[in-house]
Amino acid sequence: MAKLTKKDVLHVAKLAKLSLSEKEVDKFTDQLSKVIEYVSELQKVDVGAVEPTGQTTGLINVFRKDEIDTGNYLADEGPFEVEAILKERSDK
Amino acid sequence: MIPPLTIKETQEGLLKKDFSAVELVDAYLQKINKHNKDFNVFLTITEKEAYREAKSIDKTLGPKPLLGVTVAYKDLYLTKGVRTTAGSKVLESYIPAYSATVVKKLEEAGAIMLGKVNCDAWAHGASGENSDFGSTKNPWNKNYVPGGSSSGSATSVASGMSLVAMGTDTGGSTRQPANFCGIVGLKPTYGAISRFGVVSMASSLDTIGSFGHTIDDVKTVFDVVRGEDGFDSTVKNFTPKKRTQLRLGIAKEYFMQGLDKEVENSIEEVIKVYKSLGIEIKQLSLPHTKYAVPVYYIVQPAEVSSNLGRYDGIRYGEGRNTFGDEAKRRIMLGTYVLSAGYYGAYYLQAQKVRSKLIEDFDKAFEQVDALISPVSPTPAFKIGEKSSDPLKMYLADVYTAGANLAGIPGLAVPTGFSKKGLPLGFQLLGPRFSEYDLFELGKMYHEAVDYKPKIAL
Repeated sequence: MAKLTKKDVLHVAKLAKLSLSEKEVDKFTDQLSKVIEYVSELQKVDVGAVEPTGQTTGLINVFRKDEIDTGNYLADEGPFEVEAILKERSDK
Repeated sequence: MIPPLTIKETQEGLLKKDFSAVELVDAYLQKINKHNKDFNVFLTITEKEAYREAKSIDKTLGPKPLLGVTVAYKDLYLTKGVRTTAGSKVLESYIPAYSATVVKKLEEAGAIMLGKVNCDAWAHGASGENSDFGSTKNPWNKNYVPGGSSSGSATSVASGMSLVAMGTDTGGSTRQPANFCGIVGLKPTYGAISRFGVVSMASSLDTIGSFGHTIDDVKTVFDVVRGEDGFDSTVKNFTPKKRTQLRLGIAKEYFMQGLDKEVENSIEEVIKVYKSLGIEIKQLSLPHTKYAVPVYYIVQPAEVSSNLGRYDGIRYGEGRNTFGDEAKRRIMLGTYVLSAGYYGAYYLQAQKVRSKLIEDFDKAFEQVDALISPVSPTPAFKIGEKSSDPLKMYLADVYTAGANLAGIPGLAVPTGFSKKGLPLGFQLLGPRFSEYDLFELGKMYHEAVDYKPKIAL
């Protein structure tokens, strides 16, 4: 059965940009180990050739029309206007 | 005045001028102010906005589907200009620049927002105890949890602090608190209602839940909020199918070890009522039921770890050290099951077993139109009973998580009370977009037993 070590917990914490205290590492190692052990039960299920499910809508590639809709502005006054970062070269 | 418990009676009272919308708001706010300290329901009370809305309603009394209906929003719903915390200290001072689609639709339909209500932080929990702002208490007994994660939403309705409330349901977070508080709760089909402007938890599972005292009220809210808005690409408009004779199924896996005797007996009584109404009841099997919780606790934390990645304290909110224990656990679990070397064994395998669970439901719905099931293995449990053991808390999702994994709707229906005076009920599960069948079935039961809603406080 899968067991999480302190090293595993520190590793995932680093990946997830969480800094943990020494006490937290101990507590989470114990708690997360129990959960991982429990969910490992799934490895016994014979799934055969079934396709994995990522979503349940059956919808594929839903797009909106690429048109400006002023109703979508986040600010009431209109779009946020900022200075252009790049300008046209004058020496061309 | 004492506010009526249904939308219909509220609107009749307003139109007949038995009371004004301002008087309604007075009464609800009085209730809130009297009990909020003890039960910790509202995180923000929007008194000014509520009176403004009530005054404009009194002036026009226009024909709107939710005219004068007071609503409390789980603090996951963005409300323009009104603080939205997601129950977490990370967003303690966050004031959104826009409102969720659901909030806008309810506003346009004439609803009156009373405020933002407590929940487990980021909707992580089944008891309300994971809120960074303290637990909400069960309105029927203060020593018990109200359920979660939409703890404040269910409590506000059950205690008469609001007529309806909005919540979310990712693994049971609407149905379970509705069950623990003795009210009606709907988890809609995944893709029936836009989630635009609602803080994301697990995007392939999140749905918009609603609470009310009666099935009619929950249906009225559903009619207002459902449908495409152009901002949530999973949403689909649908026309309900007309059915003549509805058939109910009972899955043997739902009535096994661990199910509280009183819960089981109360559901047997419900089945008897349906039989007496001439509903055909079929015994069937959902063989992968016991894997619903393990699949859920891989898929959901994986998506949580991704959705909570955006909270870095740079654009808004506090830094990642502000996350509470449960959020940290889920972020780490999710990161672990997605990390190099473990992805195939955990995440991919869970997605495959998820397909098997869906197959179970598909097969069942070839034979019946809806399933009858417990909502939770037990009635409400005591505050503190499970909070130190996360795994124990997770196991309480056994009857609810399946519907989220399969994307199907579920309706929590209250029936009565246990010997200890805690609410009991059951849930109806149906195929995708079968909400109106579930409403009909639920109403058949309530009419047969002459169900009368009660408020706790």
